Amino acid sequence: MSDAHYSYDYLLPPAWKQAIQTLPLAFCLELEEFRVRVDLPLQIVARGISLYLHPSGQFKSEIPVSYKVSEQDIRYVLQIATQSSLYAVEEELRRGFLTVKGGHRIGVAGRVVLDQRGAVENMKDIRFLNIRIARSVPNVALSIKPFLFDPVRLRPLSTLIISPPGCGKTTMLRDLARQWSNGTMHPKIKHLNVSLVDERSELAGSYLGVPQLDVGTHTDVLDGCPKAEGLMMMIRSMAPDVIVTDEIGRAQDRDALLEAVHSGVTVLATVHGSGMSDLAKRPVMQDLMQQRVFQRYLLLSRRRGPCTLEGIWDEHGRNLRKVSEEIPC
Amino acid sequence: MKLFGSICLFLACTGYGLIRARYYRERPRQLQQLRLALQGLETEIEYAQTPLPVAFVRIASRINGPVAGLCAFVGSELAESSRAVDEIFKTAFTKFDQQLYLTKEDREVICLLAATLGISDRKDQLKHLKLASSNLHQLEQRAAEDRTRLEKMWNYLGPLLGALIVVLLY
Repeated sequence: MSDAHYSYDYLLPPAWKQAIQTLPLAFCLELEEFRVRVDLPLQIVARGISLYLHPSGQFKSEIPVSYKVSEQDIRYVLQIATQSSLYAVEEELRRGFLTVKGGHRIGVAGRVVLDQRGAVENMKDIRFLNIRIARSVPNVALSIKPFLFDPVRLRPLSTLIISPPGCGKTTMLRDLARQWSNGTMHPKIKHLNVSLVDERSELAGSYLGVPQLDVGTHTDVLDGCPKAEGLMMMIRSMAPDVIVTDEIGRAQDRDALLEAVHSGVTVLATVHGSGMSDLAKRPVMQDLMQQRVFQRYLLLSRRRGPCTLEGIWDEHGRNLRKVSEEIPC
Repeated sequence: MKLFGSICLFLACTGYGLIRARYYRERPRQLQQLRLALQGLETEIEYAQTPLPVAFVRIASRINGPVAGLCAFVGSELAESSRAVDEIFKTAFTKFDQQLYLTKEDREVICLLAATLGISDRKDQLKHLKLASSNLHQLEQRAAEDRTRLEKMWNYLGPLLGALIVVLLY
């Protein structure tokens, strides 16, 4: 089980670890999440298929009646994930998730404690976990490379990746950041300094500040910082060529992105959405589109697995490649 | 032969007295070291939010004696194994049993604390640590009183007892 594909197995109680070993390797390679709910069966998800742990120690598609996740199981996972130090992750618990070694993320839910102002102070009695397996997929952005730089000035183009949740936006963004950073995007463009503002520790999967996923050799990561503030900090302090951030959408993000573009920095970002028309309805995104902040828009879906490319548009709204194509993922 | 036996007896009694005296001398010192360790842990949790494995290793480098060894062992076990904190402490007490001059009551305070370590928020952790610290402080005061009363007594009592038995035998 030392294989990198099982880099999450240290989080699991021994019984689950054994059960995972009985699964076919191909399934394990595409494992997306473990859904852990106290007094309910353990559910694992891969390729959109859910399997449940049975008392026999095997995963099956039927929901079992007898095998249930116990409080001890949850305590075990949390103990390992927090190194027996729940107090050290208070800030993360307030945000609802922990990032652990290997870059995996554990979403948590339980009883929330509010402070006097009504803001979330802490989370107690954690009863629900969603262990999301992080995996960088190198070269997922291979076939779209030619669209993402200016062939005359040999500069990267600001790109916005649009997709509904779970379609591989972050995976695609991470690969783009890695390729620009390593200088593998185009033979004539050498490596660029990439600054990554990772508010939710999802892009680089940082653990104690160290990126656990490959984000490139010339990448600086600002972990856990609010996007708008982080973008300004990185532009001022790290002099990036490319600045990367995830899930934009608030007015502050727009202002920071405009600032970045006006300072001559290329921006790579993602946003939740199901298409260009959907995007144009949102005031913040409308502003960004009108100001031509992004020169390329990529739309992803899950139609043929995660990272299915549905189209690429330029800043004038012209579709550069209508035919959808599955990118090896 | 009789003389040899008497010398052996005298030395054994003296040795026993010295061991008892050492116990009364070392216990307050080790209790103080434990209290210092807990204070260190309080600082690590309150200001740096350091995870327990790293915190214990850091504390071990700041104190001396067998308590430092105990902390280093707990720190490395926490980092490597998936066992609960109180279980690790129990193993550590067994491992360092020969070097620790602590009573069952002293160990109980630490084991009670270990059962709560790392499983709650900062505020709660600090409350538990303060409580354990004050308990240790009381034990330490009592141990210091015992030391003034009993350390010297055992230092003299051993050889005296040996001499008395030898005299009686003759």
